[in-house]
Amino acid sequence: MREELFTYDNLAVAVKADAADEIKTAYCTLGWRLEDEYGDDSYGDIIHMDFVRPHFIRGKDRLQLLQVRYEVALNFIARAHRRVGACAAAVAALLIIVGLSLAGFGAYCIVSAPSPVFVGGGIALAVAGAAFFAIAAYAGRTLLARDRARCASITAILSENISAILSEAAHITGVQVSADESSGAAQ
Amino acid sequence: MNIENRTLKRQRNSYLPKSPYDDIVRIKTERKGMGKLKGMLILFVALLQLCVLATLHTLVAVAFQSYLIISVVLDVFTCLYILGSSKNGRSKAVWIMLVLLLFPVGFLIYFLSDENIFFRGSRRRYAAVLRSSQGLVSGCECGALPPVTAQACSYLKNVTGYVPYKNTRSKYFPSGAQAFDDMIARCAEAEKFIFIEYFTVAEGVLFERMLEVLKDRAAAGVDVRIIYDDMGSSGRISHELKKQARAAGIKIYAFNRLVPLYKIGMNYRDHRKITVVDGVTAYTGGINIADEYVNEKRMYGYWKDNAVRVDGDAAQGFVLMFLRQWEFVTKRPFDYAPFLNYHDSVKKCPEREESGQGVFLPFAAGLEYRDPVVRDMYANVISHANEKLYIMTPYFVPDETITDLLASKARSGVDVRIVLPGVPDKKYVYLISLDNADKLTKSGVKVYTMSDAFVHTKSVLTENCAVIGSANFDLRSFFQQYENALYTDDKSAMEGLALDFEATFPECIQRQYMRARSGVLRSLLTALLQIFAPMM
Repeated sequence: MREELFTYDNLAVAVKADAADEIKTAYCTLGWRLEDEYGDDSYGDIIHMDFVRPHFIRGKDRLQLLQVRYEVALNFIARAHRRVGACAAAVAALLIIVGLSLAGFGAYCIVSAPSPVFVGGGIALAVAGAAFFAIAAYAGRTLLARDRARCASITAILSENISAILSEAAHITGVQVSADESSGAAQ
Repeated sequence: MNIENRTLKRQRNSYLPKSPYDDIVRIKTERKGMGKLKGMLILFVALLQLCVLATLHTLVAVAFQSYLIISVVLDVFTCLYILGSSKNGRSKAVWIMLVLLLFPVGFLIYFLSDENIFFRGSRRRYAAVLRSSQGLVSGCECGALPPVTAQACSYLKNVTGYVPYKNTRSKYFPSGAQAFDDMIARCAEAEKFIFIEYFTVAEGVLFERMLEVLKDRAAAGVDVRIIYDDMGSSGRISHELKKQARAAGIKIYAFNRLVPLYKIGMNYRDHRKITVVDGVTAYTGGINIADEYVNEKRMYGYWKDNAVRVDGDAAQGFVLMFLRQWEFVTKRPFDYAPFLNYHDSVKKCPEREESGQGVFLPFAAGLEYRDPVVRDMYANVISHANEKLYIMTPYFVPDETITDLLASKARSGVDVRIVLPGVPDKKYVYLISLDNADKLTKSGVKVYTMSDAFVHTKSVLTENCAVIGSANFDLRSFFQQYENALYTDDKSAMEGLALDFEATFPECIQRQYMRARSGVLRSLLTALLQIFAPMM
């Protein structure tokens, strides 16, 4: 029988390079030991890490659940950060398109006006277009601020969760991790 | 323990592009929809055949108007036949709707899917297996039993022939990892035989570990037999590995091999989870032999599962269960006696002295029985609960009997709690499960979803008893699959399961009734999916 099958568990992860050190520390807290670390052949920002952990380890079930929660929280924060501004950009772009259309149509009316009524209408449309630009700027700023606030609160909550997860893991495995290290990857 | 924070050489190339992946950390064993391709292809080919047949039939019907009239008459008679059949109410309603909607080919599709016609051969073969193996195990004289246990015992004895046992010790495992560690260690001690029957047997670290032990035992003369379901293990176990196992002396068979034909038998799968060692030790639960069950592979977050080990007389029930399935699969009758009597010839059975006073009632369910054994057992357990009723299941698509019982129990003041996954494996079933569970919250049932986890445990716990096994709370497990479980009122097993529930509740989010908040589209989709719930 191959004894190594019953001695160690293996874990292979691909992580973003800028968070690699913090993630490495976190996995060590979860009882894993780094065996190998190497870059990706295709992407510059990816680091591959191979870990091992004794197959029979105290509190294994709990550690597995904590590990999943750590990974979910980490990836959720990344997703929340990426989404900041997406909604604002979409709404602003839509409003700007409407504004541009109105302004363009207004300009066309002024230039090719057969009567003063058309000139007046063209000016009104151009003003409305400009107003849409202003609304786009305001909406974009407001939505961006809202997204930022939301992202900040998500990050704060999940960073706290990550700290709690890692301190519980540290309690089980006996590996200590500093608060900065534990939440560093999440920022 | 210190962190070994070695800084190894990172071969970072600045000229390489950024990765398109959003996630900061990705587990490399995180794969979804594994091995589904073969099953999907076969299903597609089978449905294609059905479509061709239906089209040809329609063409004939259009060409000959008198035949069209005959089709209408046949559709009406089919609806009457369905109404008079022993199907559950929901299935009847769905089939009648389909027959009428699919006019003029409705009756044809129904009869091609009728298990009473196209599954008759298998039923007959199973009946012969049951007849020849009747009365081989005797069980125990249980004396005066609590009403729920007495009712369960007599029901199972009359319907399935399975009997209750005492002189048994149990051990509960709240995770697949713990169960398999124990199981592999126990298999390594096997002297006479190891029987393994699982819905999913998949290549990976876990199977490699098991195979090492099984090869070793087979080489030592131990009779090792494996049954796996061909759909559950579809694409996940290679011919090479099976050859390797056979070469090592392990007998391995697939249950109900997948074939690209429209056959109703393809729908009936072996969902059982059994390991028996020497007729003395048996394991059952929600687990399968695949890496995700021990969290070696990431599929849908953390994989929550459970299992129970029984040592002693109750293992005989599992031996019988396996041998019956083995005879059905191999189509070769054989003598069960050497396997059933081996237990009695074991000189040292320390468990007998240490066993508790509880009754153990292993049972199997499936198409071989006319009654929906799983549904009836759950109904019996639920109806006798007076204080608490805890259920953990990955899918919650029960029939009206169970739904009404749960609602009435909750209204009567029983603490009814249902734990469902927080992460779904099949989104369409999850939608229905949540919808069904949410409706029960109005009656006072507490519904929980375990965060970041896929709950695959299938267990029921009341103040009287526990049921641990392979059967989900869904219509497939109730009516269409081969299932097995262990009913017990043994304190040790019940305490283990109770502790598991108590440890799981804090990891869950309690759901509130949210129908008003679920959008129109979701409500429509759920309603549409509910139509096909009996087939899921």
